[in-house]
Amino acid sequence: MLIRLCQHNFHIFDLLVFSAAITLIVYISLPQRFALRYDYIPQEHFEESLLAATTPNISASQLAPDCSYKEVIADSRFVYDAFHREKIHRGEEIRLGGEYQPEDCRPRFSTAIIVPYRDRQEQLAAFLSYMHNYLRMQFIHYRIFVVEQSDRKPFNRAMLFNIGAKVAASYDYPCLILHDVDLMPLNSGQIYACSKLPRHMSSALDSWRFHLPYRTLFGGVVAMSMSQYNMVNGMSNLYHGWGGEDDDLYERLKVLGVDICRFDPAYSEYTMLKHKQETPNENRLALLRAASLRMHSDGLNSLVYKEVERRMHSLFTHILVET
Amino acid sequence: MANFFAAAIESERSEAATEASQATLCCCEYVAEDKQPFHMLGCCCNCEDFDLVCTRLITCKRIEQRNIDGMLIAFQDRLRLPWRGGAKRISPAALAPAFIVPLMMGLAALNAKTGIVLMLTLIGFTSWGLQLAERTATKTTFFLSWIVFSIVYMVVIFEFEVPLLELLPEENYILLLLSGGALYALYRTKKLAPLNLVTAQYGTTPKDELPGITEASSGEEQAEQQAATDTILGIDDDDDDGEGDDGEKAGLMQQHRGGQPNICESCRKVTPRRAYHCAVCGSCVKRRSHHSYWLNCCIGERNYRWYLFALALSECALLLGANLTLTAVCHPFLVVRLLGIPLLLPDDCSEVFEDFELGISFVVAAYAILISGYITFVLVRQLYLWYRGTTLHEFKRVKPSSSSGGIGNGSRNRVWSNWRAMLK
Repeated sequence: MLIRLCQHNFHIFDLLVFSAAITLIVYISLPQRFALRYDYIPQEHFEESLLAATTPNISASQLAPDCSYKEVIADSRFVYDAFHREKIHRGEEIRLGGEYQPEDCRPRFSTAIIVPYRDRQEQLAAFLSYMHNYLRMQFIHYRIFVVEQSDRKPFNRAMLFNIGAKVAASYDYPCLILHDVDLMPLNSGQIYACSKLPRHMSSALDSWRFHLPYRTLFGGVVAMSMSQYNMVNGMSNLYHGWGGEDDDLYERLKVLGVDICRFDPAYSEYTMLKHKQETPNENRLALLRAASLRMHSDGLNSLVYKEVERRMHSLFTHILVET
Repeated sequence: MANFFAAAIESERSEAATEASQATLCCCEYVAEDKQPFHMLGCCCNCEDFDLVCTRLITCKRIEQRNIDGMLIAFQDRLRLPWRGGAKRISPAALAPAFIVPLMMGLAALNAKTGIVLMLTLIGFTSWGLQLAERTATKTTFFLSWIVFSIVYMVVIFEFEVPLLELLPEENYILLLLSGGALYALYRTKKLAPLNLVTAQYGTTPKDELPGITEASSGEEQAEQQAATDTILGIDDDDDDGEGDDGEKAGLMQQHRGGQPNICESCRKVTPRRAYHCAVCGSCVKRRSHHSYWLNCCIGERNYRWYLFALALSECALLLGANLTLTAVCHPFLVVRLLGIPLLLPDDCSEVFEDFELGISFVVAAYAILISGYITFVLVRQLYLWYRGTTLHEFKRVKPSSSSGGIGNGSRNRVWSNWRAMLK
């Protein structure tokens, strides 16, 4: 059972084993099976990539000098420790509704942080106490909006984001950060402000070994300017249940030719609090396939909900809605 | 005794001759017990003893022992693996790990309790097995087969079950390189093992064992003989030897010129210095360190270096694989960033047994850590002995007699020459 190739005799056994080994090695080494290295904005270009926009009351009032963000970025360090997590220091600085602006300097960025929520009390408590300590280190003007779904239908994260965006727009916030309640930034240099392109902030999640599984991942924490959010008509309201709505948002941006950006992975490290694995929504793949077609009819302009309650807590603005 | 060995060698030669004459066997054919060519597809034909036994069993008649023996012999003869040049017989001991290892892993992956129980059973079983093998000095391929199948299953689980989207391709390449290097080193260790065996017979003048004799022989033989003499006498090419080496050289020359060559009582062969008898291999082994049951060969002069490489590389590969698997499957935390490369360790593995994929990855990683712990112990012991310039066999012999004084001032010279000979 010899085969003649290139003037040498090879036994078929050897050839089979050799080709099987080669196939196996090639398959194992394919880069697509692994996480990828992605393009990101390097640390030197952080500040210039950010969109300086504030709410009207900020620009009008203050005579203080502009806040400097260079040191905030350059002195970025690991701050997810017990000191910052346990309780809120100097809580009297935070105004009713969970709003804060720095006293000594004039902030250049105003951010509305939208947090969809239902039933995870411990995570919300941990989130609030850590984030208020964290964000005040960045000298930005921010306000935390917690949008809670009061009914027991499947959790519709995208619709809650749409509702939060509408409320934030009524307060004239130019920048939105769509934030999951179980994610927390580890390093202090991730400025919570919008950049010129929509930014995927949570690109180095600790439960994924600080790597990005795939380039089009757009879930977790996303920074998008209000104008861009309106341009894509917000997010789709049809994703009842877990999964797909962040990919849908990515598709909408792609239709308009808007790419997404990410900061340097060292600044984008986030930790995810433990939670029970949700069952994926079966419809999400079908909805995702038609994402680009639904863009102009399904989103902010088709938003139907009932606002049950709006309350100003000391740490956040609470919007209770029925979807 | 001499007749016995002569007869054994004679039968080996004749068997090799018959094998050579039947080199035209296809991969599924083989030479059966009755010296007739047979094919694997005929494994169920002509099972006279088996038929007899079954008939007698069903009709409740007495079964004769010779039929049972014949049946078992036929089973063993016909259990074969297709191989180049004729189907090879598989011993059940060599095939057992192929089923035991995945069964154990699968059961351990069900939940935490079975995992712990099975891992402890594994440790107990392995130590018992090794002790048994050492006590009876059997030459078995069970442990080698265990290693081979463990490696195969670990690689398969890693590449197909571990969530690879959390790993960078470079991490995978490094792991594959280390594993490949370790496997190659193991292969070389095993391949070079027969060269360690002393082949000279008592009563003949082995030209490759006595120093200084250079006859017109093939280049390879001459080189081997030269190397043998060099290692015996500790002669080195370098000039920066200490005077101590000369002293030892002089002493050795004296021993060989003036005295009798060493003769091993067990195998009646002329052995060079520092060659010891191995009961399992049935021969004297040059500079014998120990008989490795895991590799089913003796570790001696020719493969000691490869053995150390294999241990070090497999240790690195196992630890890296375990780290990558555990940090991907469990919740990791950052320990420190070395030169831009983050070092991650798992800190919360509580959700690992909820999914079978994660469970089996975790079990394989725990298994790899157990193996690497054992290898660490072996490696540290070997490195310590290497540093002291002695081998495991000599260390074990010297220790009880406490003749450390006898090593004396020759010890430093021996360490030095040992190092040089090792690195050559």
